[in-house]
Amino acid sequence: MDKNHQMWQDLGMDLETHDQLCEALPAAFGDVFLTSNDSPDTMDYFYAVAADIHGLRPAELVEEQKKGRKIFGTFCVFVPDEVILASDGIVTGLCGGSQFWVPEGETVLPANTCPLIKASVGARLGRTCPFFRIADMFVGETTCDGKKKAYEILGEDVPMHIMHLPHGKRPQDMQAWSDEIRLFMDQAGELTGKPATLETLNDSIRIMNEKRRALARLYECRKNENVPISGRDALLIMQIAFFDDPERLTAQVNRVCDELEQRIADGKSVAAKDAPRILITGTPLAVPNWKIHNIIESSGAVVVCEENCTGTRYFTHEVAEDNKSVEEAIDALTDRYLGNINCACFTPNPGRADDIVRLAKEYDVDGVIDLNLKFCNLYDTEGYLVERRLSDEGIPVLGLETDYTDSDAEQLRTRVEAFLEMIAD
Amino acid sequence: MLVNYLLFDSHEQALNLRSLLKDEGIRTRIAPAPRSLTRCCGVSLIVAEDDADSVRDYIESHPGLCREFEAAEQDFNPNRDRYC
Ligand code: SF4
Ligand code: SF4
Repeated sequence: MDKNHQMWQDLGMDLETHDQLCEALPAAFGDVFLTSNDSPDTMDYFYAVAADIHGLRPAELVEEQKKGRKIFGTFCVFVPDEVILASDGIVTGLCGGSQFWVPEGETVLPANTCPLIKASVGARLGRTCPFFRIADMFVGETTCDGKKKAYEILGEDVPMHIMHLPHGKRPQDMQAWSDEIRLFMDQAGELTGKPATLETLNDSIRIMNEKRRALARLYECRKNENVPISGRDALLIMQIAFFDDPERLTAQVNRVCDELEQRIADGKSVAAKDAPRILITGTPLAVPNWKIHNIIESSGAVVVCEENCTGTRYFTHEVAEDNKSVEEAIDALTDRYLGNINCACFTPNPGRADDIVRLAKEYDVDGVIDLNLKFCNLYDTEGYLVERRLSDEGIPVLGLETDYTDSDAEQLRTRVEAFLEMIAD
Repeated sequence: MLVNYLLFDSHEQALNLRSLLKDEGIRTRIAPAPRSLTRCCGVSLIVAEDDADSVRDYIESHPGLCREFEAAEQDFNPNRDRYC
């Protein structure tokens, strides 16, 4: 038995079913990433991680566990990685982005649950994802109703900590979130046996800010009139950022940015001069959800920005550094996370429409695609306000709803192509 | 279409040979190894048909850089819309 299969077996995975998923990856990856010849050379690292997505990083996590370290699985960008790092823990994002896991999720969840939730629950219960087997603790949050209830089901199978996220940004909400961060900090320290200190908090804040800066630099490159990287490649980097070692990730992203800045200096673009520039907004695109980027970019447009949690919401705004006390560090985390992430779970949430309009201008986009996962009530409903605002601003917008199946791809293509034609006129 | 794959024991080995071949002026692409060929490591390198002979010569004169060099039937198509 090869190393990967041995590890998967040791993790109690269902090898036979998991092999079917492995079987699908080479062709799907090839269709999306290997059909154009203009990927930056420095994408090699990210392609390698993706090529062995259930082997490479999981093996590292297992090794760290052998040394006594603990792995925390998270599902939302509100859960502050800094708290986990400061307690000597390791973070791995767990959101499921594959249809492969959905049917298993549907055995316990209503079919009209969003695919991200169904896939995440299915990946755990079906024992077909190593990350879901490795995590010592899952960290949930009270964002949408579907997730809240799904965490109760997952919590029967794996230790779970829930962070209670307020749905507003008033002073009392900020206080409540800082209390939640404090509680989580205690919980994380208890599990790892290494409670966070002021020093470890400040260190982890610095590490995460450096990661944010690298990702922001990547996005900065995408603003250029010559687009130096495809939306597909940028999306893959973002998706890997959720589970890779943060310091190595930062170094690798900066390596890509060096190449992209050189491309910009050389006037090199991956897109045709007249290719429409698209901003995607809406629900997260968890790995390996590459469908919409692939459809847009194989239809002649280029995705230059994502206003979602696998995009700008993940890295914008830094946490204040060099805090003088643990309380100050918690306040700094509260400010950055609750104060600055504009998720549809807030009411009201005017900041998100403002962000989209601002980004549409900064990235000089020709149109916005508001892409929401089926059965995501929050984003679907907010779509009305977002799309109205964009229309008011004179920014063309197309609202799309999709899931993880392939069955709507043709229809999506038709709608995307019609939209691209419309904005080309 | 037949695609040429270099197969490895580890991803480090794959990245290493990729950079050695690059120094020789041969470009390769990193890809998941197709299940019909895979042995140990999921990372493989795709070699263009035009470069296949030079790569074969190179790995024969530098043993131990990869596990195997094989071809598999693969047809990549961005409009296929079969995601995973
Ligand atoms: S969309 Fe909202 S609930 Fe989902 S990951 Fe982002 S912040 Fe969390
Ligand atoms: S996409 Fe919507 S329904 Fe799905 S987990 Fe995120 S907020 Fe909840």
